[in-house]
Amino acid sequence: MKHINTTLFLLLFSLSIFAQSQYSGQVLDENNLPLPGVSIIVVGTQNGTSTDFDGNYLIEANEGEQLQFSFMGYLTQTQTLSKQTTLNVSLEPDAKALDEIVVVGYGVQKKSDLTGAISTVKPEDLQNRDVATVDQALQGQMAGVTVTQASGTPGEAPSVSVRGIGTLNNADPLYVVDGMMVDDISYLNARDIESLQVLKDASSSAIYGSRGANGVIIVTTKKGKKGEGKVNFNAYYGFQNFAHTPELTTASEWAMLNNEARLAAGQTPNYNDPSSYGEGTDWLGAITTENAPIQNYDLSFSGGGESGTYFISGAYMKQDGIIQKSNFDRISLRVNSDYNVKPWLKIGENITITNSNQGTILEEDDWNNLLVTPLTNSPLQPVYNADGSYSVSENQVNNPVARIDNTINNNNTLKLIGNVYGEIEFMKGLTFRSNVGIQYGMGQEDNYSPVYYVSPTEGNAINSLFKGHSKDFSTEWTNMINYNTTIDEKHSIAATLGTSVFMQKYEWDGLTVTNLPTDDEDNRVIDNSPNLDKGNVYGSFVENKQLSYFGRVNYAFDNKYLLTANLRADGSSKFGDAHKWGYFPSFSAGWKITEEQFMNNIDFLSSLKVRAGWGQIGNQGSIPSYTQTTLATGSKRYVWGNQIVSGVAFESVGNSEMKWETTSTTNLGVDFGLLKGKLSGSVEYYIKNTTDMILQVPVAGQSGIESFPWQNAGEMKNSGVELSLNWNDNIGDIEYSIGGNFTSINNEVISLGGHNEFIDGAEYRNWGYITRTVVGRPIANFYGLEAEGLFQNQAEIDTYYANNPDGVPSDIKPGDVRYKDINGDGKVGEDDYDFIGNPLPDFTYAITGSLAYKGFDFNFMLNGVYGNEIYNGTNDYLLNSTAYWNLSKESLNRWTGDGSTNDPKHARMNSKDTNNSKKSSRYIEDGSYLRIQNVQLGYSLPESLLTKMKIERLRVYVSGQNLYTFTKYMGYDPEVGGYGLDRGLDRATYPIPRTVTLGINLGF
Amino acid sequence: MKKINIYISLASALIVLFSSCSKDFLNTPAPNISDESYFTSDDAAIAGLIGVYDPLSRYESTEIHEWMLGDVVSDDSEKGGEGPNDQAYCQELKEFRANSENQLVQARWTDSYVGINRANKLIDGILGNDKISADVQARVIGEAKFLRAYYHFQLTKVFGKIPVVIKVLKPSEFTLPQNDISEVYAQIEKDLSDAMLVLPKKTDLSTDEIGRATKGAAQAMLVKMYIFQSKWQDAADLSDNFIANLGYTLAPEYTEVFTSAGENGPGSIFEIQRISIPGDGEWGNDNEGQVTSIFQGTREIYDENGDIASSWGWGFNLPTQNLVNEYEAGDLRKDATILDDHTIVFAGTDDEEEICTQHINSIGYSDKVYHSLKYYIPASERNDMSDSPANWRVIRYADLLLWNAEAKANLGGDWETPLNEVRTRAGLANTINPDGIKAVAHERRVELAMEGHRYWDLVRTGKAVDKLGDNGYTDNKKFLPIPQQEIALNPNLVQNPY
Repeated sequence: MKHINTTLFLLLFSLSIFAQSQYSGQVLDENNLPLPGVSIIVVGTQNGTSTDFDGNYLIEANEGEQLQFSFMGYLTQTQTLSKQTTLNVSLEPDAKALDEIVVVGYGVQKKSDLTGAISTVKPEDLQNRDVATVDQALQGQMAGVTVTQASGTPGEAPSVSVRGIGTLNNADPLYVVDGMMVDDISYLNARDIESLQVLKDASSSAIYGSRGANGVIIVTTKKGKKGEGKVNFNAYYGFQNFAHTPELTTASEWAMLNNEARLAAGQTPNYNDPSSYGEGTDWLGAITTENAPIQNYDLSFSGGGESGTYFISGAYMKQDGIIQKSNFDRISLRVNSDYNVKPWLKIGENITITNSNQGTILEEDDWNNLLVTPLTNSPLQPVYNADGSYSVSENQVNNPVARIDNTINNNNTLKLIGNVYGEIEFMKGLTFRSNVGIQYGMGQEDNYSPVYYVSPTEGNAINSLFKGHSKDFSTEWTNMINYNTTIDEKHSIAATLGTSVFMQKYEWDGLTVTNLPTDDEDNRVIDNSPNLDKGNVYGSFVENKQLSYFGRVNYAFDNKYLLTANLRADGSSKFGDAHKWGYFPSFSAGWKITEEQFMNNIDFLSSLKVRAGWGQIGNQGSIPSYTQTTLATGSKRYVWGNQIVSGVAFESVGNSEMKWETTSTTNLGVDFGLLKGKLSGSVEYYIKNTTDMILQVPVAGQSGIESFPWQNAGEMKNSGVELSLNWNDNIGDIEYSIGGNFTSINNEVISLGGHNEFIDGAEYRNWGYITRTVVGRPIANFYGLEAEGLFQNQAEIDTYYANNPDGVPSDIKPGDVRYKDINGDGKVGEDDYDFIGNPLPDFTYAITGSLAYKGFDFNFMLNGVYGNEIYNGTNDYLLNSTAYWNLSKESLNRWTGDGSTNDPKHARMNSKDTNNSKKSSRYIEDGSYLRIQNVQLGYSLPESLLTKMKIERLRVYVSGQNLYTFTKYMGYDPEVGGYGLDRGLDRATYPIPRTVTLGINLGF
Repeated sequence: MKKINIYISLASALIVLFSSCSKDFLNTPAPNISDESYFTSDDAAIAGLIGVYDPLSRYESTEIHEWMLGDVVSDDSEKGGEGPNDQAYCQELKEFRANSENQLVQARWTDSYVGINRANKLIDGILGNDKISADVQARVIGEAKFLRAYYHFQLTKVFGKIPVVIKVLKPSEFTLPQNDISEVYAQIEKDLSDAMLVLPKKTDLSTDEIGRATKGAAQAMLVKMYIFQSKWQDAADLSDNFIANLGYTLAPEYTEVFTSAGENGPGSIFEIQRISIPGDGEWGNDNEGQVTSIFQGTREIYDENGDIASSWGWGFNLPTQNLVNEYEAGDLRKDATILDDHTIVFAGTDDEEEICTQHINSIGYSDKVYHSLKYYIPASERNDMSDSPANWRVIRYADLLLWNAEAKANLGGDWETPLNEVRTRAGLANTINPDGIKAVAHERRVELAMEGHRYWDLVRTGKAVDKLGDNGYTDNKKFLPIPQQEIALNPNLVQNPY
């Protein structure tokens, strides 16, 4: 560590020596607030200085000489000196500059000086979306950041991926809120956010080392500003409904198809007069909450003076689900303050408490999923019998109303997250900052299964109470030294050195007791169970530690040539002794071409910068703790002496050789502004290689290993193009903007560890695995039979089975699905499996626009996905030739005779069918969609009116979320998502509702 | 500047502080116990042994797949269920058109090797371990060997040539090739012979040990291995020894064998133990109950008004008319096995029910089908879906007596005595059949009907082509395909012709 000291001293000695001072003054910004760091030179000399923290300066110069005040993002001002030795200056912002301050890892940078790939979302773009959580609001906002809301269950976090799927494992980005690493950001109130940045490439995220491989999302919460205190109140209230539901046959149509299926199999039809049944039961309607309310109220106070600033807020949000028993509410409080204790010492804190409650329904079950049973249940069946009891299904589908009535699943999460920091300014440009953060999360799950009865096979005979508790505690302590200087006006240097220590403990326990004497809500406590000794208990504990050293140097020459270098060393407790430490370097460079003399005459180009970067980052999120050792798993049970006895087994094998998964990224980018900044945008190209990918590699069953061992076995490559464009202009009083972003990612598996041919994923019902991952293809492609069409006549069938030694199977008739016989053996089997679809899109895109005229404002966002495929699992029921379950309307187009249709979806009805429901491309659909994600129309009362009312701002608006989706997809929602190798399989998850809200923004 | 220097030094000192404490700081020992430190006591050895028993109670391979193969694939029963698509993989097996991705073959392969690996890991951990007392070591290793033999047999009877695994494999050994069938049986015989020597007799078990492998279980299992290899002399000698020395008897009433009271009774040699605890998890392997009873339960019953009402079960494994015809007049075992339309079960108790077979006879079988009573449990014993209490009867004394008879019939000895002992309990007179081999085949079919034995009897006695040829059985179908995934993961495996 000695060399750190040496470096600092060198930097210190290189400071220029002060001359005798004569002139002084203060530099203020457009709001009359002091502007620190403004550089001031005496024109034509080497003499220069810059303003201090309070915007004051002191410089020696002579009367008649000129002082030039320059500051990034502001127009440079030149003043000729008079005899008056006090000269106060106000700088005007430079409209043309793209310069915003961007938060980067462990610091801030001007946007124009960035050399890595960093995307920024304006807080108002997040706040315009009336959705429950911040991560939902990120959807479509940035190129390269894909947000997939696979489940619309209120309060459910979407999955966020930055630049594709870098690993088969945990590909979640790292979230850093106010300098603290957190697991997710759903606890945040969107209106508390000051800025949100995403570090996309390795050269910008390498400073987060082992946790940066999947991208880093940095959130900074609001601070108060010096000046008069402000009060802001925002509220909205709205209604949600299903945006789309699969179209089903009516009772009449289904009875007709069911008759047809039975006739085809030589059975007697069940229904004499299908047309008499009419529409039938709307099962989904029976468990739906129409116009489910969503509401949010948020109040904040902020302000500050010489000694410090404050921001205090409270918010309450509540969302009822479009399906009964699902709901979410969250109450959050925040206090952010800054204090100037001494001229050289600043301290502050950000503290937030969030309490949220979520009610969930049975969703992740291939059979009894409450989004599936309302589709499959017979439309002939009433919800209730005449006597008011639940009706029993004729087709062995659980009565969804009975199930939802008896659903009591509640999760409560309390989070307390806070950090305290101090910053010492030793001298101008040299600061030391120390930040201590604590996160405490407490979760409680309360599930209760009351006694109910539908039929002997359906219901719950014995009540049970489950309680689960989790406790997550982590602390993080970061220390940093920052140094900024400009040498000879042209060399500007910023350096950061720091250390960070992170400790996390997670504990979970749960227990189930049964036979409570009553189902009364007030008596759902463990003590009431008469058989406490027979309760089931579970529990686990995990601890992780990480120790890090990091450093960064930014160097700019003449504000034209930019260089950045990062290095981080991380030690992690997750790895064995030989591989505990990982080292993650990155370099990047930028060239601001428009700053060059030769560009001065090119007027249409207001800014142009090219960037290139390379870096290596690690990913340890993929690997659970303690994989080095072979651990005993308890609760292996058997029965001796008519009593349960419990034992252990060693289900996996430890691997002490585990090391970091490494991602190397090369990034090329261009930022540009045209026509005085009216058109701005950027283009990025990158190649991202993940090596030593942490995998649970399948091993031969004869090893007896149940849980596949973790190994560094795979390699994956992602390359992509990102484009974002924005046009801002006005036509008279009308200000408008239109923009968009485009993301295209190519994913390819390079290696799965040598001898392993494939890894399967996404198991569904009787089909087994739907996806297969092999070398040379994108991960998790659909694998099964290719449904080529339908047999049109017996001659086609005879030809097809000509090579089959067993002849034509007796149940194959014209109208049945014809699968591609790849090996030509005349049989349909696993030898004929092939890759039949890709769940990853060709590209994703978003289009945004805004329009403002006088008090009116309008904005919208469309987002879309193109070229992906979805395996519609639910159609195993809804396109089933047996007509056993209710059917999709699509089934009405079934094959009825030679030449009627050749679409495999339209196979004939046959109640004894065993051919048409094989795992095949019959269930694959185009997943492309374009969604009207958000539209908002607002009106702000004119200032003239407001001033009288002593109000600064009053705006009312109406807003719509997920208004319409253009798609050919038949299921609930084409936004299917996935995790790991389980992608693109639609098991029917809770769809995202269509929401219309009315809101108000009030500030005074 | 001096002041600044002090601060810098302070800050640097903080940084240095971290590096000095880093060594221990990053060690977070696993809270769960590892294999290196686990086997330190007799109790730990017993816990490991329970882990070896545990795969026996997995609901697929050692349970429903036993009757799916043993009964459904034979001429004794039809698959049943809702219709042809319900558990279609079982129908594919019955029609001898299963492929290597069949659910049964994968579960059979995986679950059996899990049991084998757990046995090996246990033996590895306690053999010669001075922290574990000698007698516990001997008995626990004996039981582990019995189970290792059992799991190997589960594999070889289905797949033929399989890799024999008798130690914890290193990663480089995960892809060892198959052994010849004779080598597999040789290892099974060795394990069972070792186990026989150290395991206690059933009569010596304390009540809290009932269900653990005994000397009798190992010895009977070894007889079975001889029978499967047609080693008639060995089978005759060892079963004679068993009958003479181990004190097993047939339970007086055949009907009692398959009631809860009949579990682990005088004629019980080995059973997979099951217990049902309310609220103990609904499905699969989460509980210690079985799923056979709900699979085989009737879908419909007649209610008190004589109307058809939905019942508890799923209606699988339906005895065929062909099986029903096999019973001689007066054979008490028929009514203890076969349920017809309007049969009243548990008459006179609160559990009384009137069976309805209309649904199962409407799903398309050409001949009439029935339900089976053997794993039909009374309503008062029914719990959540897969949590039924009835033990799976693996080896009964009647089975052993009939092996003894079969061996003798093949050798030309006195096969009538053991066979007639079985017939007497069934209320039948001594056999008048002069052909011992045929007499044993008949007796085995009716005595052991719906217990998962019939298909294997047909295969090992060479009668499968005759009896099951119409369904598609040929000599190539003797062994099922090795799971596709295993072929892919171990290139040294040779696929069975099928």
